[in-house]
Order: sequence, then C-alpha cells, then structure tokens
Amino acid sequence: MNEEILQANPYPDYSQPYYRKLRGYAFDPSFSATLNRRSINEVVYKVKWEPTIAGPIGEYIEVIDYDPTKKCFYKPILLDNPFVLADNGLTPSDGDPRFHQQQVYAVTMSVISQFEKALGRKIIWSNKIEVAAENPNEAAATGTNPAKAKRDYKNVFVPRLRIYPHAMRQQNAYFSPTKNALLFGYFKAADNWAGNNVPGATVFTCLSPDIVAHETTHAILNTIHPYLTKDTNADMLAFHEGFADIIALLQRFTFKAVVEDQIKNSRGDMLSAENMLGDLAIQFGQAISNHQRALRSYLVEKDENGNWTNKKPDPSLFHTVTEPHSRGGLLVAAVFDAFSKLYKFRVADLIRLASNGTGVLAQGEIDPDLVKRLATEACNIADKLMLICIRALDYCPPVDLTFGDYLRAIVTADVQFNPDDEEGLRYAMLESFRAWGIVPEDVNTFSVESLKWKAPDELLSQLPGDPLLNNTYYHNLKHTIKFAFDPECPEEGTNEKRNISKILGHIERILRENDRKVIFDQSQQLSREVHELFKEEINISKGTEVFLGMNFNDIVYKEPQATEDDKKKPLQLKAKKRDVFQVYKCRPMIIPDPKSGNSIKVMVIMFIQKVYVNLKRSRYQGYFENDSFAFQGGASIIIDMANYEIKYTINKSVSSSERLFRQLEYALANLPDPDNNALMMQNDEPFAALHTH
Amino acid sequence: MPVTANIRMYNQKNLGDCFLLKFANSKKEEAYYLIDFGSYTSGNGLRETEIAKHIKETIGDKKLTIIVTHQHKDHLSGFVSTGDLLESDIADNRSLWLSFLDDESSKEGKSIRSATERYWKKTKKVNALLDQEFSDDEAVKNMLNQKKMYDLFAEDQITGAGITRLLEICQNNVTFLTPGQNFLLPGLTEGVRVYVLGPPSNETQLLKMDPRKNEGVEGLNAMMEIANLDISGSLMLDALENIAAVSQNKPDKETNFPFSRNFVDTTDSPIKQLYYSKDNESRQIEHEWMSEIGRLALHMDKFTNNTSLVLAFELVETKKVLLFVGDAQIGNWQSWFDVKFIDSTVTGKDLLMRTVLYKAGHHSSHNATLKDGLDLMNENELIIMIPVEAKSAKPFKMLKPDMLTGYNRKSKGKVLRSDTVEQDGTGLVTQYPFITRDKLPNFKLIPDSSGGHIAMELEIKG
Repeated sequence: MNEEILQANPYPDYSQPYYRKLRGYAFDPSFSATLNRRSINEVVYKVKWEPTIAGPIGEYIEVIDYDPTKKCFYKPILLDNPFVLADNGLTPSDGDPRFHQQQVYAVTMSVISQFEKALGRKIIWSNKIEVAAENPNEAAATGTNPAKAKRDYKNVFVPRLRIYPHAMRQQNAYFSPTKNALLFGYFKAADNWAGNNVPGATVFTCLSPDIVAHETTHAILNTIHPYLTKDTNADMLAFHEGFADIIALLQRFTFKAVVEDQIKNSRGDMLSAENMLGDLAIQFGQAISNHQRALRSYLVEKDENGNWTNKKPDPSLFHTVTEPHSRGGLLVAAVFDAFSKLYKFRVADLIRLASNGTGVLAQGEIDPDLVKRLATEACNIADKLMLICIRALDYCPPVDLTFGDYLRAIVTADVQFNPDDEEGLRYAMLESFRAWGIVPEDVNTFSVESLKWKAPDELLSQLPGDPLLNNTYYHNLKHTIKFAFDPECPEEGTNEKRNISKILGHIERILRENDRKVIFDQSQQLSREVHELFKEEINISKGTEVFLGMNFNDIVYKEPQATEDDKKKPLQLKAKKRDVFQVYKCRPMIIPDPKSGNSIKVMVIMFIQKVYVNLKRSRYQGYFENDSFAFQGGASIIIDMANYEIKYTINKSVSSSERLFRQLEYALANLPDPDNNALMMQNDEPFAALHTH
Repeated sequence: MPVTANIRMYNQKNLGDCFLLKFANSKKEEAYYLIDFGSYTSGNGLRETEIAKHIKETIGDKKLTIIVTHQHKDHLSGFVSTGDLLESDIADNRSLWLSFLDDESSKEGKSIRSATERYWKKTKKVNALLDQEFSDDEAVKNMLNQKKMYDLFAEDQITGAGITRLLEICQNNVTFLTPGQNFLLPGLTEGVRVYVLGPPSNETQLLKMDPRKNEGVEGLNAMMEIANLDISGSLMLDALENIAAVSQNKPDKETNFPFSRNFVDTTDSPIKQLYYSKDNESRQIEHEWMSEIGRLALHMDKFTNNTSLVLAFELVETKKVLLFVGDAQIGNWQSWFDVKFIDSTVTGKDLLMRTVLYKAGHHSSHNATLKDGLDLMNENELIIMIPVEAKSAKPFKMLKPDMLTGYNRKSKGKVLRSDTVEQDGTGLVTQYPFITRDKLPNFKLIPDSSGGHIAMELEIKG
C-alpha cells in the first residue's frame, strides 16, 4: 500500500527540504505546567525529511492511533498539511491525540537517525515467522520433542515498525517483537500532589520522549541482535534495558537549548541535584509514587537522610544486583560516569578562564557565553559517546552477551574507528567501567590491548587438542575465507565449488542500495551463500569449526571443580553430535578513516550452532522439557576485506563447560512462571512484564 | 523452665492452613493456640466440621486463642463454616489475634479495607463483563479462568464474613499485633515468649513480593499501591462498561476520556484498512490491554498474602524458635531483619538462626520463602511442615522441585506434608532422603474416621 504516494514528489520545481521541523516536548507535559520550565520543555525536533501520509506513515514507521479500550481510531495527523507544515507541526498539548502522533513520530525517527548515523547503514525491521521445517527427522536424532522440532523459522522483511500511541490503560509501554510494534499505555495519576503532577490527571507514556526513545531502542536492538531477548545470563535482558536507557539519556543532548538551561540551573556542574539530565521519565515516576523524582535517576540518589547526593561507583553491585532494570542501570551508570568525567576534564580550561584561574566560579548566575560553551562541550561528548556505544553493537558475540563482552566490543570498535583517541573517550570509558566493577573475566589486564578482541592466531595456543591439527584447521579457515571472498584465490585443482561473482554481487548491492527491502533480501541471500560455502569447506576438513566456536562431534561437559582437591566426582553432561549451524549475520561494512582519508572495508560474520544437552540422571533433571537443554555457541568474526585476513574473532564456544553450567544454574534460578503467563496474557512478550512498574 | 510444645497440623484434604499449638510448662500450665483454619475449595464443610470437632475434643473447655494470619479463604473458611463448634459459653474463654493491618480503626487498616472493598466490587462487574463481551477470545478466556482461581482466595475477605464471624466467636476480644512487640505467651506464666515479626510496618516492604523483581518495586509504598490498584481497577471497569454499552447501541459513557470525542475518526480512513488488513492480523492489539486485569488480580492476591501476621514462638530456656509465617511474601521476610524489638536485644536474624520448626510459607510456593532466611535456620534440628494438597496446589506453583530441594537441603530431609505425611522424593535429585514417619521421634499420626489421617502432631521439648 501507499508505496507510490510515499515516493512521489508533488513539487518537482523545488528541491526536497533536508529536515522536517516538528514541535514536541523535550521532557514531558508536566514540565510545561511550570512557567520557567515551559520554554525549554517545548523544543523543535529536526527529523530527516521524508514524504508521509496521514498517520503519520513514512518509510520506517506507521503510527496507528487505535485505542482498543474504546474500540476507536483517533483522527490521524497529516504532517504535510500546509497548516501543520507552516507552524512546525501542532502545538504541544496533551489533549490532542494528533499531537501525540506527531511527538512519537518525531522521537522515534530521531532515534532511528542516530543509529543510522552511527552504524553507517539502514535500520531494517524483520520478523521471524514459523514455516514448515526442512528437516523433520532431526527431532529423532536429537531426542527433542518431535512436535517442537518440526517448527522452523524464517526471517521476513517488515517495512515499518508499528506504533500504537494509545494501546492500553496501564503504567506500561513495551516493544512487542512478534507484532513488531511499540505499545504505549496511558493511566490516571494517583491522588497525590508529588512533583508537577495533577492528581487524577491522565499520564500518557507516548508523550515522554524518554519512554519513546527507550522503546524504540529496544526495537532497533532487536533487529540487530534478536538473540538478546533470550534470557541466558543475568546480563542479557539487563543489557537491553541499560542500553535503551543510555540512548534515551544521550538523545536529550541533541537539544542544545535544553542542555544550556540545565547547565545554567546547575551552574555548570553536571553532577548537581538541580540537573535533570540524568533523570528518565520524570512525570511517569512522580505519577506512580510519592517519593520518586523520576522513574530512574542516574546522577543522583537519596542518602539515608533523604538528601540528594551524587551516585558513587560501587563495584560490588555488579556481583549482587540481578533484576534487569537495576542491573542495566549499572551499565548506564558506568557510561554516564564516563560522561561526567569527560565533561569535567574538557571544561576545566573554560572554568579556569572564567574564574581568573581559580577554578571557582563567582556566586550568582554564570555568564551566558560560558553556558553556551559548556553546553557545546557536553553535547559534543554525548554525541561521541552515543556513537561509541552504538558502533560496539557490531562487535558483540553472537550469543550469551555479558557486560564484559560489551566493554570489549566498545574498545575494539573504538580502536577501529578512532585509533589514537586524542580526546580520551576510550580511557574515560575504561576507567568508569572499572569503577562500576564491570570487568571482563577472560582478560589478564585491564588495558586496551588485552580488552580488544583477538585475532584467531593469537588464540591458537589456548585451544585444547593437538596443536598441529589446530594449525591445520586454522589454515583451512583462512583458506575458506579467501575462497569465499577473494576473486583471485585460485580455483583450479580443487573439487570445491563456488560462485564468487554471486557473493561479490550481493556485497556490492548491500553497500550500494537505498531500498531497505533489497538490502534485506540481498543480506539473506549472502548469508545463505556463505553458509553453504562454509558447510562444504568444514566438511572437507572436519574440525575447522572449533575456530568458529562450534563443535560437530559428541560433546562432553565436565562441571568445573570448586577447588583443586575436590574429591567429589565432577558431574558430566553430554550432547549428541549435531552438525547444523546457521550464518546468522553476514554484514559488509565500510568504515571511514578521517585521518588517512582511506576507508576500511570489513565483513562481520556470525555463526551459531545449537546442541541439546541431555540432563537425565543429573541434578538438573525435572526442570526442563524432556530434560533436554538447548545450548548455543558460535562466533563473530571480523574480516578485513583488503587482505581477507581475520582481524578479530569473538568466540562463545559451544563446547564450553563453564558457560554451560553457568547457564544451567542461571536458568534454574530464573525458571519462568508458565502459569502466570496466561494470567498476564504474555506468552510471547519478553518486555511486557519487565516494563510494568 | 522447660516447656513442651505440641504442634498439630490438620489435614483438610484441601489447600489450606490449620495448626493447633499446645504449650505446657513444668508448672502444669497449659495454653492452646489455633493458627488459621481454612480450605481453598468451597464445599469442604464436612471435613472442616470433623476437624472443628476434633479441636473441641482436644481443648475441652480450656481457653483458646485464635490467630488469623491474613484474610484469605484457605486460612479463614473453617471459622465461617464451623464457627458454632469453636464458640465457648464461658466468658473470656476465646480471644483473637490479628495483624495491625486488620485493625479498621487504624489509618492503614481503614484505607486498605475500603480500597479492597472497592476492588472486589469492581472485580465482580469486570468478570461479568469479560464473560459477556469477550467469551470467544481464547487469551481473554484463559486469563479470566486463571484470574477466577486467584479471586477465590479472597471469597471470605470480599464479604467480610470471615472476620465478622471471628469477632463473634471471640466476643470482640481482639488484639492487633505490630512488629517489634514481644511478650510472654498468655496462659503460661513462664517458658514461652512471642515475637511479632511481620507484616512490615515499613510501607515500602509490604509490596516486595517477587524475589526476582524485588528491587523494581522499591519506592512504591503500600498505600500508594492500593490506591493505584483502585485507580487501575476503575479504568478497566470504565473501559469494559463502555465497550458493553456501545456494543448494545447504548450511548458512549466515556465521551471525553481520554480525548474529546471530536478527535474520533469516523471516516473509513486508510489507517483503518491497514489495521484490519488480512496480512497484518497478528499485529492487531485487540486484547493486549486486558492483561492489566490479570495483573491486578495477581497483585491483589500477593498484596493480601504479604499482609500476613508472622509470629516466632521462643521456648525461652533452650532458645528454640517455632516460626509461623502465614503466606508472607519476600518483602515481609526482608523486613524482619530490620525489626527492633521493644526492650530487647533479640533481632530478627537471631530468631531465624534459632528456628527449629518452620511452617512453610504459602504452602511452599516459590516466592514465599526467602532463601537468605531459610539459610539462616538451625540445620541440625530444623523440621519443615507444609500444609498443602497436591491437586489444588498445582496451579499456584507450590511444591515445585526447586523449593522442595531447598527445604530438603536445609532440613536434611525433615519435611512433613499435611496431605501425604511424607514427601515423596521420586523425580527429585536431593542431597538427603526425605524422612519417613517411623524415623521421627515425638511424632504422632492421628487417624480420621475414613481410614486416613486427620492430623499429625510433633512434640518439641525445650
């Protein structure tokens, strides 16, 4: 539908504007209730221009304002209506649903742009749908429930993320992966006068840019890494939550006027309690509770005496906090800590200049020029941190992400994009992550060198098994990659088959195309080709898969001993041989290098293999369906396309006993409540319950 | 002074609590305490009568103190169905202990009471409307069925019949207990001391119910929560009433909520076609919002559980503790560590560490025993009694393997169940075999008329 309208240019005599300007709230409607905050709360969002139809419906999103609690549709806004265009959109108002549509459109599109800017490619929505299995016999081989194993999934392209601004009446908003939709709730505030709240007034979650940005980030993160919604360790859902909050917080820094105002109020001190830049969902938080200043506050907390103090890094929390929002909060706190460190460092000279070298500003309001300069610095740092945080997503392992892995991904990505780090952003991040206790377990020193992911030859010596054989496998892997992507790799004298022009054709189109559907199809085909090729090559030299975190033989897992001289016989679990794997992402990228002017071409490939671990006659019996535990492993490899060498490999081995037992213990401690699912009506909604407050 | 405590767990052949405690000291003084008496399923009057008669036989015309931990049917129904049997002609022979939250003359009690009443009134209408308007929707139907199971717990609470009957039985001789209170057990001049641990008077703790999400609800206090339940309940009811009205061609009652009716799109716009298009059916959102109704039901149930009165009976000389927690949820447990006992140096932690008998919280469900609390208990002597019935317990996550293995580990297998006496260990991988009746000294099984058992009794010397 509508595709033609969306592409037509009705005014061929004029060039298309670059931005569409739309008015909206920077915080939320409650701020407009106070005179001095109103002016900064109402800002203009600059959204990349695109043709839209009533809804708004554009290329990426469709806003459908249907209220199922009333079974009615509200009139959709037409952003291209001359009266709307002439006035930068409708005036902010919580009484007009069309403004609500405008606000969610503006915020969602801004967040999408931020991601596209950082990743250098288009955001593409997709959905997994069930299709008939290709290999129904597999159930018998793995001992899983045949009815279950018959299910197979296929990725399909979804052109637009759907947004329902008034989907329910509850203190909740969530992203639904199965519907590819954001659902926003509204509710009545409690009968108290906390904050700027009006007792009994209606609070709309879709009017809070924080909440909208948070949910949009969930949706984007889910297209980049669908596996993150699998709750295989304490960090997975927490990462989703934390990351979504980071983006929601940092996106506020795109409004310089807001930052200037906050800096003015807090006299340049980012960490003062007057500063609201570290608060998320202020109206929502005040509406549901007496004591809260916002739903989540990352810069300040209340001490025992009820006074606001700065949050202090506490590394012990990393080992004790497990609830996803709170644990995700540690990640946010670490990033925000880096932010305030950098800010302090970067503005020190300005403060010295403005204070005659004393570093202590005179009493009273600070100079408006200084405010401007400080705000520029703050916005600049926020912008760069957001880039770093988003880019790291391409450097994450294919399964079982931990905060430590994410830190390593940040470091690796940043080294790639910004090798010399003149501004110290990377070091500030390292320092703050360490202060908050987020330290990867598998590195020896906390330095850039050891945090950076390793090339496979550096891992050679650590691999179990015969070193000579491993060396052979390694060379086979190198050969496979050359064979797959290097047109000059000789073909004669081998029995191997390949279609290099097809593969190169896909890569070229993915990099060149603007049509998201074409990019999606091409990526799917590329993954398929690469999968076929690797399957064949691994077949020729069995064992090569270990470099990709996989294992195509029977696997025995031994429980790690608590102490060296533990006399008890360690528990052993087995998984039957299963040589099925998937190439889950195959993504060519061009990374610009502003220093040299050259650009780096890389390819990220993610491999995943699933095995079924038999739990019968172990202490894990009786908890999982058929006493079988689906365990995944694999690797992301990053290939330099200039010389077809593997630059980094990020390995989560499917043979890892340590990881298996940790996952089992975690799964046991967090068994789902299947009975409550019927009651809460959320069998397929990983975020619905998580987001109820 | 040495004392003997006899703990008798009745078998209602149903989900529910009923414990008769007898304390005796060497001065030949005796005191009887009845903690809760109820069955989850309606129509259990015959069995309840059998039990009430048995209690009556045991105590004769002696004094009895009735303790009701919280107002759920499985702790209360017996008093309604068999109240006459428990009455006494002798003046002051019955007294009643309740938690301070049940005190309707207190501020908290009053607002909880009126908000719950409003909630149940709305619930009745909501259930009827759901039946009427959404009976063909599978997900809504499942939700409603599950919800009704939870609602049933509150049957006697809804009408107030339970408490009314109890006050009659005890001739209004009622004491409301607050955490921090501690006193010699009335009836004995020496030997046993009672410590009141819960429900939390700290409002923030009252709402911590789920061990996984405990940090998530911090800052929401009980009053606020009950108010929110109230508002959310109204929103749901208003929506359903409106849908029903419109479907019967009656006027829209919520004309201008949340927006003026002028904003309603009455045309056949492309947006509607998009929403209703065949290929996009799975992306519709017709019933998602009703999950709030299910959530409210679950919340109300846990809220009431968490108001449980929690008592520790200390056998003074040996310092042994018998712990009765009702259906206290995690937040209730966590508050015990902060209770300051009046004129005493004893702490909640001490009492847990000295616990030798633990009445399993909430029939052994997964969110009613705090692991850190269980871990503190005295592992050499600990016995755990679970009042439960396997069949009716199943939908409520009771008797789950993780909880049972936890109990097994801590009590070294000394776990007793009201329905089967022993806990069957088949299918569970445990460290110790579960204890059998012949291996337990001071244990007595009391048969009933139909060849089963009406109760089991344990004697603890201290």
